[in-house]
Amino acid sequence: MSYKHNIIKERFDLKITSANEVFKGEFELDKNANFLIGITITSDRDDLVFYRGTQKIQFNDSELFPEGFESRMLMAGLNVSPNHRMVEVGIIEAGNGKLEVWFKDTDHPNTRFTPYRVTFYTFSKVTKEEDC
Amino acid sequence: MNAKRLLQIHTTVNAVDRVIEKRTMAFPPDAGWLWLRISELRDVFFTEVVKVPIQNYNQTIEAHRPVDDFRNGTFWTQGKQEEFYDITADLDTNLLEGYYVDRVIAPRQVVGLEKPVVTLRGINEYELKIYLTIEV
Repeated sequence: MSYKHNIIKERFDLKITSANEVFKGEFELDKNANFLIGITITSDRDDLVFYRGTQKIQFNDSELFPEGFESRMLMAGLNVSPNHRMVEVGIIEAGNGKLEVWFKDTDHPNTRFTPYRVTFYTFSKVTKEEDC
Repeated sequence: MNAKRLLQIHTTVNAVDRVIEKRTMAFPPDAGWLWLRISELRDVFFTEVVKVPIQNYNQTIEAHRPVDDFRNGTFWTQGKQEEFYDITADLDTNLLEGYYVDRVIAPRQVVGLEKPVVTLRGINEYELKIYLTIEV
């Protein structure tokens, strides 16, 4: 967690240990994270997440991304400026923010399953103002 | 059901193209062609050449590509973020129709030959996903 420029960045890991199953993760945001503004996904096996991953993401019981939303839509690579790797979700009031993720692994011919990690990064603001 | 306006569209496929497994390509081949229309707008309002996903797409300079780092899962993806296509279409109904021409699995006829030549590019059925961002 860090507070640079009023944006709180947090990391949550989900271990995917078996193929073709749904893994649920429930994460609590920092108490000072009052407004969720973005999210992104990385992994220690980007190829597996790219081809095999879909997920549903809920924030405080409201749906951010529906079931079946492909993980690759939330990934960014080296060709993307680090300042643009976050997928914007608007400015969602967080309160005691709770992020729920249902990550589904599905077989794909381009990959062979091996346990991997999916990391979700959240970007939140303490205050709503643009510059603090 | 309560959609008022269509704001963004994005399409993906999870097709596998056998040909690209055997060679290095800088650009992904076509998976198919998609046309969409809604009754509120005359004729086709959205069309796209849907590409087979390959992980090394969007590289800036091919010569700088690391040796197959993606396949080994040791580094980040090289591609850009996928982006939705912005569109604004007011909706009176919730009906979206269209058609899709497959270019991966469908047999092809090679020009100049009398008999169609069945290619083996596609190795499995695949799923076309159409993502919509709608205002309710």
